[in-house]
Amino acid sequence: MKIRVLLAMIMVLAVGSPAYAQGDWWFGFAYETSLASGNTADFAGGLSWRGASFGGRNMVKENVSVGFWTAWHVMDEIGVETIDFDDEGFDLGATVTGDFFRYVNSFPIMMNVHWYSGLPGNTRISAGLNGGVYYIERRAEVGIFAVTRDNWHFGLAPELSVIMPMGWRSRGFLGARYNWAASAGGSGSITYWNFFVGVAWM
Amino acid sequence: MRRVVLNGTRKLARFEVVAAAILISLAVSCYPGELTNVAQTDIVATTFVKDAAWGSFDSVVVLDTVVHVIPEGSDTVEVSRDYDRQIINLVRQGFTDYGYTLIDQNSVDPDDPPQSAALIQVTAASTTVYWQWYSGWWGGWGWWGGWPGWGPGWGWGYPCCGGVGSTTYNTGSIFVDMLDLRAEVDDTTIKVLWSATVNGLLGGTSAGTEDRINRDIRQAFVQSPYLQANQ
Repeated sequence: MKIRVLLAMIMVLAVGSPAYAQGDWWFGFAYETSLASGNTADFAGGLSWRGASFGGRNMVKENVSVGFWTAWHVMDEIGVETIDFDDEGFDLGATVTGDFFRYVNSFPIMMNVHWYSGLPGNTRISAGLNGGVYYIERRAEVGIFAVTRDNWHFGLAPELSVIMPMGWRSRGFLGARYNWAASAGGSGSITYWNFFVGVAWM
Repeated sequence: MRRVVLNGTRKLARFEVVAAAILISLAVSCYPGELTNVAQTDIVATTFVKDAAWGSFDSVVVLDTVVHVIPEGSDTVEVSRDYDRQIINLVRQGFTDYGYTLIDQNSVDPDDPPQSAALIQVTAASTTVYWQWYSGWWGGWGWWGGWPGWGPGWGWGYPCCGGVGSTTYNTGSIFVDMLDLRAEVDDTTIKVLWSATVNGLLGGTSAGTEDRINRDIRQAFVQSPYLQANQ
């Protein structure tokens, strides 16, 4: 009888508490906001509410994972502006006023490694580093005219997040990430922050 | 031993994946806040000669006719003449506000113009932009020069899911040129000291067009403070 009770207790624990074995894959979607920084903010500043990401992580150790991450981030700035062109050496000066529409569309594709505090199944803090490439398109429109520049950039994206258990084989997470895309193809470096919230499952 | 059935849990997880993907995709758009009305296509561009004797002019002769440029072989005036008087009056008001005296063009001797007067010529023209698209590529061409490095970037028919289409749209431009009658010129060239170009999509209501003309021509003077007479 005691053995049966003991076996029953073991069964309940086994079903109710997922065994997160090494080699388990986690996949997750996140909603992400973006905030341009540095020179990027001069082009398309302000907090953008448009963005999403998808990623997967493999728990190679109880507190370490490797994985991949991809996302789509949009930053924009719209408004009436007056721009003066007064370069030295030119005999003519010029001024243009119009409704300016400026956009940055960023598509990171990256591998990553993360470290986790605490124990599986509990709320954990995760610190990680993403590394890979960004495909970034910058577009500026005024009137009926537009100019677009797009390039592939190498980049890094460190991040910090909190991971919370939500139930059977699922986790909620929220965090922040800093994106740095190196200069490429005549385009300067692109930098911006992400603030994200999402769900992951095994 | 009792088997634990997980099929229901797996189906729920797949639903969550699809639902999350749909919800998140709805939150993303490449170019949010795009054009919503024709007035947003208006641009006002002004150029000026830096070393001109700004301040030495105290009067202007504003020609009272807007010259409409139409394509060779065509007799259609795309930019309506209904707004000519409004345009001329706005240009006259702009120079008056900057301290210029208006001189009647009929009182001027072309061979001996006033030494402190400039000639103002207003011209109007239209451009037709032809736009073609097909799935997977967004391109087009137009023949209005604009300024270097830019090209037509606006059009309908953002491709989705295959297909080919084309569309055209017309733009209108108003040019205000300030000419220096005192400058030495050859038989075909007169020096332009200041030029204002107002460009935008043709269309919209008459009242809306009047508002756009009013706003844009006034802006041309606002962004040209060096025009102030007798500085």
